[in-house]
Amino acid sequence: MNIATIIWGFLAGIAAGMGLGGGTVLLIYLSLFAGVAQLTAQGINLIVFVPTAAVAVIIYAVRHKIAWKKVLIMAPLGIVGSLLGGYLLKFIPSELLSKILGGVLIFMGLSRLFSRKTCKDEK
Amino acid sequence: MFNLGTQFKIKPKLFLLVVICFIVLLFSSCKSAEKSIVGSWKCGGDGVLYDQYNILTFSEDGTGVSETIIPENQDSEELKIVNDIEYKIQDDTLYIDFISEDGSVNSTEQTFEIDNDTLTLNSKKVHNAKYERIKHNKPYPANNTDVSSVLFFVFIHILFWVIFLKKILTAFFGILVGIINGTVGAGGGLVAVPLLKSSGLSQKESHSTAIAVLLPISLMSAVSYIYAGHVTLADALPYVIPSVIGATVGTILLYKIPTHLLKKIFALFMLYAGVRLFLR
Repeated sequence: MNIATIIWGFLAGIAAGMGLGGGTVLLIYLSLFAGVAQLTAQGINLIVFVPTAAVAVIIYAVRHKIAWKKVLIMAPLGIVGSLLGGYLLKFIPSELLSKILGGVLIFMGLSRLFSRKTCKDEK
Repeated sequence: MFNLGTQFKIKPKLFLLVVICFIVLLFSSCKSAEKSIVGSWKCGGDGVLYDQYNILTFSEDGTGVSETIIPENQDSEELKIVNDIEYKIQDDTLYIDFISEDGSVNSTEQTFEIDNDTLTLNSKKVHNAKYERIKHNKPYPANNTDVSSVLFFVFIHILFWVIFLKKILTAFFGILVGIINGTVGAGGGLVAVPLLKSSGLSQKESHSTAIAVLLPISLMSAVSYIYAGHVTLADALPYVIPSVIGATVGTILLYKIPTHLLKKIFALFMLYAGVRLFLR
């Protein structure tokens, strides 16, 4: 375990906990800077996200910041989607996968950069 | 925009309007079906000319059959003359070609009028030939291709979409969250957060709820990645502890500091990484 691992893991955790698209931080580090194979990087990212998200969820749940009804509706649908996604992976070559990730990041970056602060934020 | 689940309400006036349209269209489509010439029609058999009668059958494709039947009487046995016909309708004129067995064609032209179950034919030779629709022996379904039937069909579809669109969209985006998260290994929040926000949650609530949504989804994806052999638990282990500590800090920070600027900085980082990954 080197220092970069710790720092990036920590940063990823902060970003994930704050809902800043933290799931992408570790993935960016792994695939862009650490030179890990794309699929392995994605796998590591998903595995790390689980305990990280679990901690965040526990803290938010204690503070009643989670709308559980919506979770109950969306999570099962998402699980169906993730199974579909896992099936799709078999047909997507690794080079294309990193391009898709790049596209998703560009889209996320742009949408966040130009998103306006709404009054709901002040709640 | 679309809402999640229980917040769906029908506006009473809109609902009433929809119901009225529905009834009107239903009524008009039924009526227009009755006006169609498609079906079987019987003329005669009322004692004139030895109870001779004629049955005209029109199918939807412009063909049909004409049967002229003279029942058994003191002069002869039952006589049945069957001709294939081809017909064409222009405005209120009906053109019928009677095709004999030997192939000769006898073309006729007559004006026609349909009033419920009565078809009245008028030609130069025959005036006011009344045909009654044979209901119990309707060999062809009513004509469905006229405008009001199509409208009715379209209307039902629109009604369906108006009622279920929100739910369909929600389901679609819910599944999309999983697909993106599963194939890219991240980024489910990209869809989940706006979806939650549009359902009436605040920005920060949307973020915290999105994490709860993504947790089981990511767990499922992670298991499938391990199962497929793309990654092992040992690969991920070094990152878990720092990340969990980071999450604790981040979670506390979210409701303490304004995230606006941080978001912009992070967005730039994403853009940079995205472009590099895209060009690789």
